Amino acid sequence: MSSPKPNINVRAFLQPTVLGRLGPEVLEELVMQARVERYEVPTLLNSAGSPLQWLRLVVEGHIEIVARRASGKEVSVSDVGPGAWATWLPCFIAAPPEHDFYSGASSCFIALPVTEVRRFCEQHPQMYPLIIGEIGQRLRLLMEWTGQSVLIGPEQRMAKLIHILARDQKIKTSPGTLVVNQSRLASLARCSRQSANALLGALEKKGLIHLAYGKCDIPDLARLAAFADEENNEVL
Amino acid sequence: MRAPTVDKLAVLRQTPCFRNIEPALIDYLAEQAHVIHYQNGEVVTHLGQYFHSLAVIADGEIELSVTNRAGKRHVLNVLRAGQLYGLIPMLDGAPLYYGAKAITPCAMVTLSRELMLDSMHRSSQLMMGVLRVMCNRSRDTFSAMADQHLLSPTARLARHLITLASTYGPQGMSEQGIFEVNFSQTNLAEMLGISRQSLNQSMKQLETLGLIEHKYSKITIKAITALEQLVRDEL
Repeated sequence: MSSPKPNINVRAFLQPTVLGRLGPEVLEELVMQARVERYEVPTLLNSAGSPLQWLRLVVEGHIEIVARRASGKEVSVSDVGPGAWATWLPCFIAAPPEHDFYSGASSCFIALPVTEVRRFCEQHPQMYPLIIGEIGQRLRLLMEWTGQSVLIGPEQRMAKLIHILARDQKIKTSPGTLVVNQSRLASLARCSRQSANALLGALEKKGLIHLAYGKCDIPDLARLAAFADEENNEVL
Repeated sequence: MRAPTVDKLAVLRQTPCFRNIEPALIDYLAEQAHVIHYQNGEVVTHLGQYFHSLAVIADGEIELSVTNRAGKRHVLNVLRAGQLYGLIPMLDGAPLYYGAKAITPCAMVTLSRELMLDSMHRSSQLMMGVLRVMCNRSRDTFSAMADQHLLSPTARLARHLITLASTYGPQGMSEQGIFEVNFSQTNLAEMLGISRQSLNQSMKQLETLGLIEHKYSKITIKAITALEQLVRDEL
């Protein structure tokens, strides 16, 4: 981790998040506790089985949650992008995480000590419903992905993934820009870079997305969602 | 046949997120709650439908699934007594992301969304109970995703059978420590996200090892410790 750089305005980044909802004075308590982390290369932030001591807001880059087996097999189970938190769980349950947490390359996070966040929530119980909303939204997206992506074809699956990531990055209006690169999309879709490239090309031809370096423009979110779900509507 | 009576208060008291809440509040919630009975095979909800309640399964089982236009189905989960149904849609007010049907005669105790949200605002114990359920559910979902990609179909089947055995609890176990669970191969395959053929191969493998026996939809778990070891070997 490199040393904090002064150009990050912690207050400005925390203010639009769930922690900023109680007003600037309350937020100030947490700003004092925050530290800025920068990682130029992928770095292990927390290993499976160790208590997670920091709640991190992704400012740039991403945090990858990786499940690993003794045999050496591993899989990326989640990816936390800009504007999202990794993770609220240790603030409320004692068991340590079962997976490893890695920073992405060229990533920047605002980190808050879990113990301080817990204390802050106890002092301001109005935070609980807001945090429940935050966890609930992520859980819904996760369940939608695990449940609905199983039954659809590869192009729809990639469209579904992009739509879910866009919602996770709180993109609500069209056109929107998703900060993501092709290798992350390939890893999350569990396909090769080559397959991901072909699928993204097909979506681009249909006018559903436009790819640029490190980002994916979505001209019409509703159209993307309709395409992703067209095979997945339950027979009523 | 008349549906059996459900003790709403007892059901809520046995449900983790209500367990530590103030006695007056749990009494009030039980008074306000409704009981809904479903017959085996009856549809509870469709995907995309709004469900303006939180339900606790009092008795029986409901299956959560997604079905595509071609009729292919993926089973997400089977909920049993004491488990919550509709938690996320209750919290965010958005439609359900799965369909649900009763796979046995089933009873649910339901609390309206307004009542739950209001009670959560009044009781930090209830709020924390809901928060912990959600945290545990998130963690379980990540683990299930990891298993799906890192465990062999046989180890996944073994893990699933262990879960079923623990869910059915001691009532499903004989004096010799043998568990019997009823689950069709189609349902098991849909739940594990594998083909019937793969499931069949895995079942045969476990049978050859002497860990299970199966006949039609009845699966007898003969050696749960050995099943657990089989999973551990792949972790």
